[in-house]
Amino acid sequence: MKIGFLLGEAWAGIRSNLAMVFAIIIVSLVSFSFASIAALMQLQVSEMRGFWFDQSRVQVFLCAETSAEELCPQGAITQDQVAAIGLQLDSPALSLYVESYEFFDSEAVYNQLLGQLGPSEITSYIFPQQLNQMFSIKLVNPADSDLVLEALGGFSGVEVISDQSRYFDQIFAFFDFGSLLAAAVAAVMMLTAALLIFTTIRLSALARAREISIMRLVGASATMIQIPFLLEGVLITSIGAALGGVATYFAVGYLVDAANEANLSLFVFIDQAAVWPIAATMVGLAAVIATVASGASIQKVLRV
Amino acid sequence: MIRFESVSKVYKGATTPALDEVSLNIDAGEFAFLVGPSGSGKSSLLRLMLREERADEGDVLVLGSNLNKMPGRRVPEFRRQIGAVFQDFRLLPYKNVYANVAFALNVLGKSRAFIETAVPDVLRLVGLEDKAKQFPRELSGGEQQRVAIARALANRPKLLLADEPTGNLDPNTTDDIMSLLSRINLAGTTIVMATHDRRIVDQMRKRVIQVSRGKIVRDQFDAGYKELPTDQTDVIPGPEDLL
Repeated sequence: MKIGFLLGEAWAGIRSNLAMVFAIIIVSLVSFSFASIAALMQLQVSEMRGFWFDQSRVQVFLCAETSAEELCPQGAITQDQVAAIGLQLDSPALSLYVESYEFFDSEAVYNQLLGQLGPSEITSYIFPQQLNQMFSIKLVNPADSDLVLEALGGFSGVEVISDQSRYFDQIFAFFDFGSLLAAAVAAVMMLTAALLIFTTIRLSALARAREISIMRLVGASATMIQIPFLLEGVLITSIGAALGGVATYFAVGYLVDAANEANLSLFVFIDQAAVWPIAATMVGLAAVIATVASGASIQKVLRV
Repeated sequence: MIRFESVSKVYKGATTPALDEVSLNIDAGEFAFLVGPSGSGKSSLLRLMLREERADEGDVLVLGSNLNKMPGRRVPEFRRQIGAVFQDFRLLPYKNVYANVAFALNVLGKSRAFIETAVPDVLRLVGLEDKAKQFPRELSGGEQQRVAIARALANRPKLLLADEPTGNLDPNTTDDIMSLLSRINLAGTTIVMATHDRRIVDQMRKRVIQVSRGKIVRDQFDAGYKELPTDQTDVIPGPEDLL
């Protein structure tokens, strides 16, 4: 097979159908950009989840003298009760899920608070004995926090258990929804692109019916007749997808810069470089979709 | 080279058969005219020889292959051994003469070196060596048909099928094309040509196979377009001959 000749025939098809070719390029540009955005958002969510989950702890606040009576009917926690909780955390059943834990007495909690707030007027009204002692637990998998709640919730002397990872649920839900929405739009756009390719290749084949009949007449194989049309579809769709990759690259650059300027850099876990592997995958996907759509489109023409 | 054995063909939706138990034998090196009115079955015979259609009944053997039993994937390979020309030339308007002829070799995957030798050779054969760069619209009808013949011959086929190749040409040009076909035949290529042109059939005095309503009603060597039978044993009288 002669690549030069096949490419020449594909180019002839593209030239004879320029308006539709531009339509396909634009539709695939948009659809594959959406697909890239969906993939990038997923990447962002999973990186972000990993980072924040790594930082998050389950905090078990213990009863203090100042605790409300309905939460701590027996008053402040005793040393024995603290020890019992420690034993429970070390028990074989729970230690499987607990990566590490630290105990902070009131003094340590007070010092931590001072460190966070700095010397200010507020701190002059706070005293160590007003603050709850606590266990800060890092789980192997933060999603298992319910186990800790179950295991320690019934212990006397426990005022409240707080799972920090829950604070991110809404943020993650927002990103998940955004990524799902982009994926849905991408799916619809890709279907549109596939149908457009199907129609364009069919038109191209009709415009070249004479050429196809001559090819059949001189004994060209079905593959030989099919290849210029497949090349045509694959070329224009891939160009659209590649342009989509470039557009996404600049869009991500702009958004990352904007986020950094707005001091939101703690929430940004992707950079422009992350676009390239995704864009390359999208070009591959575009080629596959174009091959299937073009192939289906000229099946009828190919009957020898 | 070509053998039809009791071949029948009925097209979808048609009430009468296009071909009705046709038997025929054409040997290598022959020049045979298929004559008969429109719709008599001439083109159906050619289409079956090219395996563009399959017979409903009977066997069609061309170049040693039984076309009714040939799987679709073998058809391209089979067609490469046959050249075909038509009344409407079937040239690609946006390609010049050289590219039109080279196209047939390109789709077969021939090398550039082969094409660069074969195309000028075949253009010389049809007398168009100085028109290689011209486009079909710049050529006369006769010249366009020569290009089509050149393309059909480019792959050196053993068999050339021609469906009314002179149908759109004036008498002088027709004579040129016929003398070209004669030379090609003398060089060893078998030619089967369907035509309406009484004059050329009478002039050439070749084998004439007359078809009427899907049947062969006359098959005569060294014959004219509508000759009365000289030897009754060779001839099956058809409805037209009885008029």
